[in-house]
Amino acid sequence: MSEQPLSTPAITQLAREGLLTNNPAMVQMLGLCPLLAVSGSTVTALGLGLTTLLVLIAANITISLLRGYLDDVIRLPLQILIIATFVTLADLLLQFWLFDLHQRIGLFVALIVTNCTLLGRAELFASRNPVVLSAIDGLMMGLGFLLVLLAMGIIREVIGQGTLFANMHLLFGTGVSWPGWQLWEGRGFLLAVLPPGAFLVLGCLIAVKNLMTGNPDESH
Amino acid sequence: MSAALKLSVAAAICSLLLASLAGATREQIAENEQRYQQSLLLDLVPPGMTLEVNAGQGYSIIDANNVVSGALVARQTNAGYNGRIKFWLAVDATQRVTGIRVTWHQETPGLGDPIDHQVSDWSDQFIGADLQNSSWVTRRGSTGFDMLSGATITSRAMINAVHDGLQELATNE
Repeated sequence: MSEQPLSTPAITQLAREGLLTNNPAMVQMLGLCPLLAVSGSTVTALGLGLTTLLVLIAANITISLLRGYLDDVIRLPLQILIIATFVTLADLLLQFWLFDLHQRIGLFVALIVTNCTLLGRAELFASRNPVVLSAIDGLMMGLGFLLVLLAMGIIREVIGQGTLFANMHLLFGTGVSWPGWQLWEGRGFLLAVLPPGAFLVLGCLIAVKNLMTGNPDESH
Repeated sequence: MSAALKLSVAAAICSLLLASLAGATREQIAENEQRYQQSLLLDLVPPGMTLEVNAGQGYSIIDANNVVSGALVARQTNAGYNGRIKFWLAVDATQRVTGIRVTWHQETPGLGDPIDHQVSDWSDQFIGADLQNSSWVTRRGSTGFDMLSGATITSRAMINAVHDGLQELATNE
C-alpha cells in the first residue's frame, strides 16, 4: 500500500473505513474516555471532536514526513512525542482563543494524548504511507470520531436536558447570542446526561451501525 | 545518525516549539483567566458601583459617592458531594446577601450543578438572606432554603458555606 498512487478509489476507501467500517469509536473502540466524558452536550462534543480531528491530521502529516527517519527502536517514543507536542499546542491555543470552552473540556484536551486513535493511526498508517494519504486518513478517522461524538452529544443533550445546541457561544465567541433550541421546558431524562447514559447511547449507536453494515466480528 | 541522537534532536525541537508558544501566549491566557473570573465578579456588582481591593479579605463594593456599600469575598467549602466548591459571596452594608456565583465545583451534572448560576438561578434564593432573619440549616437538617432534589448534600454544603461566610464577615466587622 505504501506506493499506492493517490487515486479516487483510495480516497473513497479511506473515507469508508474512517467513517464507517473501521470507525475509531464504533469499531476500533478507541478513545472511549473522552467520547463518554464530553458527549454530555453538543458544544463540548463538537469542541473536543474538532480538536482531536486537527491534532490527528497534524500528527499524521508530521509522522508521515518523518517516516524515513523512524528507526524501529525510537519509532513509538517519537510518535508519542509528536502527538503530545501537538496536543499541548492545541491546549495552549484553546486557552488563547476559547478560554470559556477550555474551562469545560480542558481536562480532556490533555487526555487526547492517550486517545489510542492517534497512536493507532500513526503506527498503522502514517508511518508507512505517503503524506497526502496520511493526511486524508487522519481527516477521515478524525471525522469518524467527531461524527460519533457529535451524534452522542446531540442525543444526550436532547434527552437529558431538552435543549439542542445550547451554549454555542463557548465555541464561536460571545458574538453568537443564539441560545440554542429549547425543545421542552423543565428537566429532561437525567440518565442520558449521567455517565451510564453515555454507555447506553454508544451501545445503541453501535447497534444501529451494525444493522447497517453487518457485525464486523461475524464477517470474517 | 544514531537513534538516541535522533530522539534527542526531536525532543529538543518539540520543547523549543512548545516553550516559544507558551511564552507567546502566556500574557493573553493570564488575561483570559482574569477576564473569566472578573466576568463572574462583575455580575455581583450593582450598576454604578465599583470594586476596590480591601485589606485581606476580598473586595469592597464602592458606590457612586465613594462610600463602602458592601463586600465581595471568595469563599469555599469542602463539604460538596464531590469535594470542593468555590464561590463569590457578595453582601451589602447591612450584611445581607446580594448575590452568589459558584466559580468552581465538581458536583454531579444534572443533580448538583444547578448551584452554578450558568445552569440555574437556584443560588439567587440567597439574595436578601442574612444571619438574623433567615432560617439556616438546623441540627435536624431542616432549612428555610430550597434544597435541590437529588442533591441534598450539595445544597446543604452551599447553605452552610453561605452561612459561614456571613458569620465570618460579621466577626470581621
